[in-house]
Amino acid sequence: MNAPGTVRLARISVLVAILAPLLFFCACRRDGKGTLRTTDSLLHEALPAGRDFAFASGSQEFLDPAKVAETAGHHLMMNVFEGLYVYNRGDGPPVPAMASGVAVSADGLTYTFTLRPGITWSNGRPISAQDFVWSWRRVLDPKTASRSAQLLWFIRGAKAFNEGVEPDPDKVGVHALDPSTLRVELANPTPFFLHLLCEMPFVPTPREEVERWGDQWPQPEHIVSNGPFVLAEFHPRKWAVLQRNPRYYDVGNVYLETIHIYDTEDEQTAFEWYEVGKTQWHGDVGLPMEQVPLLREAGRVDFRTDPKLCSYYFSIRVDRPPFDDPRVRRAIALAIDRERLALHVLRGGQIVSSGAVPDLFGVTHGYHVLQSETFNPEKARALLAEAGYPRGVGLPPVEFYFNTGEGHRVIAEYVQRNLQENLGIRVQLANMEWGTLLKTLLAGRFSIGRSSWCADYPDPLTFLEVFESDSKSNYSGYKSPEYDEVIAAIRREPDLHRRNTDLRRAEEILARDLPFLPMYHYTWSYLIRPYVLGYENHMQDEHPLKYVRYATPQEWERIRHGEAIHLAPLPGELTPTGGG
Amino acid sequence: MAAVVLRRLLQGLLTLWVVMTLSFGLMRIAPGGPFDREKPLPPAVMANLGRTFGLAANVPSPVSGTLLRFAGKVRGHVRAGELLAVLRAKNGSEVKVLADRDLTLVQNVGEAGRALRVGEPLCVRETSLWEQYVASLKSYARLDLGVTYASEGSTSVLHNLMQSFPISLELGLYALIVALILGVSAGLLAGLKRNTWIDYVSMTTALGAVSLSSIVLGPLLVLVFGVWLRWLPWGGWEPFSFRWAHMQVKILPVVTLALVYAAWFARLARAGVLEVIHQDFIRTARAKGLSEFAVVTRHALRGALLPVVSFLGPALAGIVTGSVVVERIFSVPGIGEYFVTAAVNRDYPMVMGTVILYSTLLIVANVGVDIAYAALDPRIRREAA
Repeated sequence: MNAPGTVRLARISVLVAILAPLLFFCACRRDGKGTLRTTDSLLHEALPAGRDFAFASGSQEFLDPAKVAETAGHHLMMNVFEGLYVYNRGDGPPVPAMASGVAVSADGLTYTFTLRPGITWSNGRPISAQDFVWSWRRVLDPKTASRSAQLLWFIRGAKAFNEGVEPDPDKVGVHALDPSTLRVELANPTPFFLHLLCEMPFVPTPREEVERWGDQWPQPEHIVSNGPFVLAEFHPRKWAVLQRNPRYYDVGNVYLETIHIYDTEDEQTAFEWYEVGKTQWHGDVGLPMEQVPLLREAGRVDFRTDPKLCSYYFSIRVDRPPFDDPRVRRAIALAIDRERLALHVLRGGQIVSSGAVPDLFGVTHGYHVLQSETFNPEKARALLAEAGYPRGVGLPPVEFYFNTGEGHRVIAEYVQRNLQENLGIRVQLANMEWGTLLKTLLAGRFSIGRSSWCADYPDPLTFLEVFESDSKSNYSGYKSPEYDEVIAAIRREPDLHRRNTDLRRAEEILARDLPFLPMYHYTWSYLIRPYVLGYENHMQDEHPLKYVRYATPQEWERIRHGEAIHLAPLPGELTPTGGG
Repeated sequence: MAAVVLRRLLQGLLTLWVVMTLSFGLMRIAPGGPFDREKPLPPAVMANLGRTFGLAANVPSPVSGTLLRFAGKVRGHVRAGELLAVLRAKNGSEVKVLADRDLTLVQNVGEAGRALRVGEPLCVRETSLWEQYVASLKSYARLDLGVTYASEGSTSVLHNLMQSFPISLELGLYALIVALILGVSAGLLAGLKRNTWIDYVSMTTALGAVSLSSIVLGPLLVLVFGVWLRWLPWGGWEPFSFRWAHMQVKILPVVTLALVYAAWFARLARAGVLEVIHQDFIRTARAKGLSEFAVVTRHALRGALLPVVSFLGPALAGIVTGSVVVERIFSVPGIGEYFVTAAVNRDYPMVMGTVILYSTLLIVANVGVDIAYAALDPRIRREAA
């Protein structure tokens, strides 16, 4: 045996072992963008031959619409069940579905719905107003323990019944006057009530099957539903298949025949499935964070970013010096260059905010949010000096709490640099696990802490309620009788225009007192094949698949030539004004 | 013999109880509960959920009357003897309701003016850890693993385990077979052709595979065979069958999981061969004029396999339980997912279910081995007697 030769061989093999993976990774890195599909290749795909549609969805485990509370399972359920009203195609008022119309009393408290004639369950049994009464009571029944029951608390008597205070379900303000007339009495005028009716807890559930099969009723072999699609196959954590429901009242206008929902929680997997053409919409799992800027820069035709009804901000504890002085809070708010943060740091198309409410209520409410200055370092310095801290002198270091992950650190560091540079304020960052941060915020043991708020219902009020004195999510400890009074007035007001004036008033008070640091409103980015039409931008991010269709060959030709084809919203029911 | 079996089984049961108790304790020490969200749920909804899953119980009203006021706390800890609420009884007197124990309030039911009868819920409290522990032990004694929180109570833990465990088992067994074939042949070759390029290449690859681990290997294989070459699909799982349509999606996860273990097997097999190859009986076999092939297959292989076989037990356990990462990468709906998500979501019954399943498997395997030893080895039998 040749000893030196052996040593040499060993050395070479070690070298190869180290270098090979390195080379491999370099190759991957350089090719990082190359592995993305190009707009060109997407536009040269053939139109699908059939009417099958596929997307990825995160672990849908549970299927009872009375209980579906979170994203998982939502996309499946919302295409299988349908309530009195349904989300529009894109931003627009709700569209009558199981109801054919509604009459609202002058005080905005009583809604009388007429059911669409001839509507049936997927097994042919007619749907009556009593079905709705039974289903809504079921959601509210304490024994059902529904997490989304709160959405029904707008109905008179619903809260007491759900809390177990009032055992008689008949006291809940929903009654069938006859098989096709449903009367609903509300606790307060709720101008967004028709929007609420589109949500899952308001859909009817089939009484006979629920009573017969118990918890097993949503299984494909038992389920009976009333939406545009029926559940044909369901394999938890694997896949589900939906088929067009031939008994759906508007089946003639439903284009898709079969929908495949592939289960994954992994963003990369969902992304790859889309890239290789297994799915037409990448799904509800979100895109891998590092792909979003790449896709944006590549200008991919199928990459879309929609605004969301979600707001990112920092809560400021208003009872802690020096933040008990509104001038200090305003100075900090004005010292952060959010445009640059969104454009160059986050790069997700985030919408810079100066207040709590995203500006997405123009179409539905005729309401445009208060826009005020977001960045003015001069003014910020002046305010700080006025408060007695010229150039930040005399200010103790400020502690910023945020939770680990999701790029929160990047944002916190950006704010830290801005405050240091523009105001001379020293900021210490402290990150903690999510549950711990939540506890700290709830206990009020902080000066500035990361928070966010997503709409409970599509109305500016959901963002403004947060800052009410006794709101649970009012981490700032902000207490303003003036503000509480305006919020109470908004709740009472049946007239939409006067209500908008009150909303504006509330926004102005918030902008003046500033118990929080507005940062930006969330967006969400997704991929959808360019030949898919009818998947339109919706502020609540709801896209019923009954509106989705594939482009005709002529349309596809136009899209290939760079035209964007959007389907207009349907004529829906405008939010009733009650007193109007 | 029967005494040995009985004793080992009892010991197994004891171990299982210890593991269960520890897991129960650890789960509850972790901060946060199963229904904590960024937006806190209203107390009434929390109370409804809590009662449904045995995490909350009613505090009944001791008298009939009208509620005047609550002590003020909406949520939080109340010590034994502290005031909960004030009622006006039927006879007009004021009754102060005190807490009969330390408790954590979930909900004060209703508002002032509410009329109550004896026994109707006045408040809702969290059940104590002890109550929960006793309740779960009771249900486990009835072989009832409970329902999962993630499904809002509509799916039983057992159902989830029965759905997912066979998949993990299938993945693990394939991976084990592939690992054995790959690893043993590579190790055998390397051992026989010691210090040749065959040896270096296979051992370097083995070293690489062990160091890379499946978290790197998986995405690499997907990139090469799935994205670039487009040879194989990945992501998801198909039912058990040997049809190509069902097998192809399983290839990448199986190979990813197998490579790491193949590397271990290769190193063990190589060591085994090296130990055997210079022994006298091999020289004798060669001296008898046996062909090299016969020497290797009849004699060297057995020696090489010994360390591999003794590693098979731990490897099987590791491969079946350790596929968490691979299952995650390839969206395989196996049991691994529950290890992670159930724990993160504080889905207590699901976590306990997985823990119990795996401890039972490991304990049964160990007890089985012990019993087998006892049957095989008279000395152990005598010891036990």
